[in-house]
Amino acid sequence: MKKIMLFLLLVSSTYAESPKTYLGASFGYLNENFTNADAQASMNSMKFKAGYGERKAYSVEFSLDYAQSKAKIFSSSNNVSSDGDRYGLNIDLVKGFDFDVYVLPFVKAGFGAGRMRVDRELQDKLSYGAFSVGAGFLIPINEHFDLEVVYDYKKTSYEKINLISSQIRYESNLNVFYFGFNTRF
Amino acid sequence: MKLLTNAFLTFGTLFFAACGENTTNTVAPDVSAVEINSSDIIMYSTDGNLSVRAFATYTDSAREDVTNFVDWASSNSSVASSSVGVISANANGGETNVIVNYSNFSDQMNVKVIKLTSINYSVIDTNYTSVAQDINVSGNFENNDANITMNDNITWLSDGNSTIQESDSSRISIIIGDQQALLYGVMFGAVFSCHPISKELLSISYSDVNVSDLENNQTIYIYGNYENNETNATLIHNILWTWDANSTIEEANSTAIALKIHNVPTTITATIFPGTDCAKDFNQTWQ
Repeated sequence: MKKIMLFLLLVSSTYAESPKTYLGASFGYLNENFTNADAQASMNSMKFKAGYGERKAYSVEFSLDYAQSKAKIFSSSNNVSSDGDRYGLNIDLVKGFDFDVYVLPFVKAGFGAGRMRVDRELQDKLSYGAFSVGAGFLIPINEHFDLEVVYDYKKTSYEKINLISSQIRYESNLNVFYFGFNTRF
Repeated sequence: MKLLTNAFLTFGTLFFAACGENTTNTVAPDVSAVEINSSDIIMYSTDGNLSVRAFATYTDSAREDVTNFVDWASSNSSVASSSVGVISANANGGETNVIVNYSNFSDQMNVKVIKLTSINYSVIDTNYTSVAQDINVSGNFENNDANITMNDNITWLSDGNSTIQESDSSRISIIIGDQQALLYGVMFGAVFSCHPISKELLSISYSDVNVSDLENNQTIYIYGNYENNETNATLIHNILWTWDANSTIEEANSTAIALKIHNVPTTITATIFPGTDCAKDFNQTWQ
């Protein structure tokens, strides 16, 4: 712990002049409800991101998220108990506000795409695209570190399921709630 | 701002409280099998196209026709081919497997093509020339099925002495002339059958021959004896003449031959429809 603190102090002192670039990691929980099927999935998720911008103004974020599905919605094989890993790549525009309180609220909007492993006869992965909006707040620790609490809503559309003579496209609403940590330099 | 924070935290708490449910039974149906909806097929080589369908079975027990979406193949397309569920014989006899494939799914069925061995022709009146007459045909097959209507894969050709007005696999409308005429049945690019359709020549008559007159040309007149008691008639057939070592035919036309006898006994042979499957020999021996 002491080493981590020393490392963070070192980083913050190095980039003391213009803390616009930031890296972050977050851990959260997502809940997915399908709009055209009676199905639901809840799972933990992780996100790593890189952004550029100011806390109190605009910034742009690129993020890579990961989740391990615990639901079995697409996979048909008896060999698996759930759908597989899920990776997504997102880009968001973030607008921060300063109401002169101890937190900095922000709203965000963006889009992304990803892929989920499934175990089906004709497909072993499903791609998806998503539009997202979200809101949250940053809790600045100092000029270079902050915590964040965020809610994201994602409208997700999956690649069509191949049934040979027909195809079915599934769509879902995702609610993601996560906590994160950012370092700015 | 405090209100906003409280609302956010309340929402988060409710969110986590609401979460946790996971669907554990597959919602999206999947393909469990692809099958041809027919058992093995036995078809005559003269059958038209046969249709079969391919169906996909799904994990939710549904079933759908996927004939147009799967790949069709034949293990021996020279015997029979398959395309989008349509099976066509390509040879007069044989066996093959028709296979459907889609990704990892596959099914197959056996197709046996029964060989056509002979053709039955209805009789026409050979006295009616220049008038279209119908010849009805049927097939006899290697499995002893007889008089089977032929639907496809056989076409008809005539020689220059008759004219086919129209035809299908089971009927020929033909105009015959005064001369010999042949009808050919063609299957899969090769002549399968040759059928004489002019009046049938039963025998050939010869005028008197002096068997003791050796090494001199003798003019011998020839006549045809046809069906329906038509005897001593002018031959309507082109004839190929052959002879043994004891004689020589020096000249020949449709009414006479010039024969030189070297010794007796001697035999000459008249072949009608030479070089065809309808060829027929008529031997004449002088002692």
